[in-house]
Amino acid sequence: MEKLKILVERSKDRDHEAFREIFEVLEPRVFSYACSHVERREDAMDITQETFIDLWKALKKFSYRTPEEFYGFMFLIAKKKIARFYKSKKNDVSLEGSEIDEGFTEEHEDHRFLLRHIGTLSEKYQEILRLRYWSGMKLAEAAKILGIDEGTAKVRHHRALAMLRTRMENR
Amino acid sequence: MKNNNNDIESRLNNVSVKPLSEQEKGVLWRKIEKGIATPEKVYFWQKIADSFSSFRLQTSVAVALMVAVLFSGTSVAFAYADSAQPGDALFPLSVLKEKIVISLAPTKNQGEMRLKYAQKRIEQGNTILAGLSTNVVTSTSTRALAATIATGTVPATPVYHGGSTSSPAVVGDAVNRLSATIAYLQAIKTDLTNSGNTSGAQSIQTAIDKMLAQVSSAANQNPVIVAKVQEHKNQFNITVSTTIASTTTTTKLALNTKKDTQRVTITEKENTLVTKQVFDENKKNKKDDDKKYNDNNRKYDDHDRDDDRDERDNEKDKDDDKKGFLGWIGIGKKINVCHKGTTINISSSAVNAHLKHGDRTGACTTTTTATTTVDTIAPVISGIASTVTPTTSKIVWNTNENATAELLYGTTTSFGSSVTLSTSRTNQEANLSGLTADTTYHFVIVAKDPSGNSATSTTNSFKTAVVPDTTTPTFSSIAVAHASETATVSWNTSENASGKMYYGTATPLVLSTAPYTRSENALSLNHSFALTGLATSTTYYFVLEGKDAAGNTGTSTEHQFTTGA
Repeated sequence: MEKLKILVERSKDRDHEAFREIFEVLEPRVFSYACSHVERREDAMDITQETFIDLWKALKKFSYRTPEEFYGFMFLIAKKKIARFYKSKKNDVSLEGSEIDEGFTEEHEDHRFLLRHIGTLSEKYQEILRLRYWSGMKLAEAAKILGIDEGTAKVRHHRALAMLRTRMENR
Repeated sequence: MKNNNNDIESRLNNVSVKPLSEQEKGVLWRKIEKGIATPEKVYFWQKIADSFSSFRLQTSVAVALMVAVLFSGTSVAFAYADSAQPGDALFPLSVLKEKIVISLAPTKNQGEMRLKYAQKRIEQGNTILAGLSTNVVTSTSTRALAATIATGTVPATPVYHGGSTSSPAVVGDAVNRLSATIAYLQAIKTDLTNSGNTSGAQSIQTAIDKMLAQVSSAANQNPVIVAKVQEHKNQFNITVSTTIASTTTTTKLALNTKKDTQRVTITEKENTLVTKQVFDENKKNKKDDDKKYNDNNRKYDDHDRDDDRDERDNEKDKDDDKKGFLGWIGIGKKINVCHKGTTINISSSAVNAHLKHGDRTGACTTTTTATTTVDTIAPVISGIASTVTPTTSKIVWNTNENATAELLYGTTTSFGSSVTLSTSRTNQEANLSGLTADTTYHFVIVAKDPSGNSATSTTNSFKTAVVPDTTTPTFSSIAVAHASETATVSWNTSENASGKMYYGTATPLVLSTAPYTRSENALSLNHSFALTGLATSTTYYFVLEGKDAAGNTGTSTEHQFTTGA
């Protein structure tokens, strides 16, 4: 992925055009990842905006090695933004903290229903499910971003599904 | 368990995020553009200063690190920094470089790296003494050496000695320091060129040219050459001075790294090239230089002690893995020295004095080695093999150490079922049952040793056997349409089978000696043969046979028909 390396280097040199190209390519991933954490679309857009602004600033300190490392770096920033988002929403009813509604209809709201239960899993399991089903990555890709090997990712994914099932059955 | 996991999986697979429309994307980008459009002039040393704000280090040490990082990737410069001995002007850089390398390494390797560098430091201590006795450079070869330096080539074997200005060995030492200095500057220049800062690179080249010119013009006059790379608060000074008789010529390159903390922008400061004529090179000046140098060293030790404190504090917050015996044995702490046959433990600033007296670093008797009994190595899985029947499979494998295991399996690569083997052993066997015949299953083995290290095998697969067909075909709807000299015999079989017919006029019909046979190899459910040339008014007896694809052969009972007159 030589192209990405060049775009990152040019962005480090403050080339807006190059950074725009990075944005065009990577925005869907960041946006869908944000959607896997928040309920409202506008909030996910805000998080995406903040992530890219911070990414621009953080590029000064970043030295490019591999594409996966760069994605990981970007997701790290996105995660920080999401955490900050939750802090500021402490007084509102947030997705993660609410009680699981027993009478919740699954039909059109499966996305949100699943997210509520996913939010009760451990961090590792949440991450692999979000990257796989919201950001649409193959397990091999997610493995590289999480810095684990593919076998471990598959095992973790299997266990995450099993744990999710248990949680959903025992609700 | 299998079914339910797939259930959840398909629901998750149906999750789809509605992507942003082009219009929404455009709006988003405009907001981002606003957020990033702050004007800033970034110059190369500002870039480097920024890259270190994430490390928790004292400011002045961070300054030194900035320049050291410029050298990363240039092995020549680092080779010299590595050889810098305690007591050399270049020593602080060598240690700082180690610190960068260590802090950039992944956490799990840091303990090992610290130990490696500590050992190296001890070995270097032993080398100093060896250098004293064997590598002395005579004054007649000074010119040759100076000439070599002037062409920019670097001597192959460094010579180190912390002696005085009158000893020829010092000249050789200075020559090596000079070549190291030039190498550093060349590395800086390469970095600047690569990052597109051609004017910066040009300034550095000018400095290099001036320094080399200075040395080569002095070459035939037995100069005393002093080359130094020193850090001060916000400035990094690279100096080359040549002294002939009592006249000293100095070329100095000052890299100013001061950052205006109140604003993000920074103004560029010109590289200063100063060519000064003459200090009086007398003993007092030299003492001042040495004193200044020792002060710097002490300041450096202080910073290092603070660093170690910071590092220790950081370690407390981290994972337990690498704590313990792989401690940081390094600068600012005490190290062992073998003094007249006794191992003593002294602070690093006192080491030089001991070395000059003939002591060597390290304990008196043994070399320092670190051994570990902590198992941090995951088991290695090998010899995976499977045997199958239609509904079961037995999977065996070995591990190079005792390990328990979990085997995940399923008809897809997301598995769905698992078995646990809770006895920790080196050869394991898993028996799977309730499988579907003639189906491919994927599986993976997760082995865990008693220390908790686990390894996952690659994904393997096996295919269950086909259920064998053991039923023989049976016969039905046997009919004969007969005339006086011909007959057509037809029948059906219970499964696709070949058709064969034995017939004759004697009864019972013995198949092996039957006078007439007809056969058809193609498999089908309906069979018929048309017989001709029969005798009139004769009773014929026949037996049918059929073989299915699996090779099962069915034989009918004996039947008969009688031809017409």
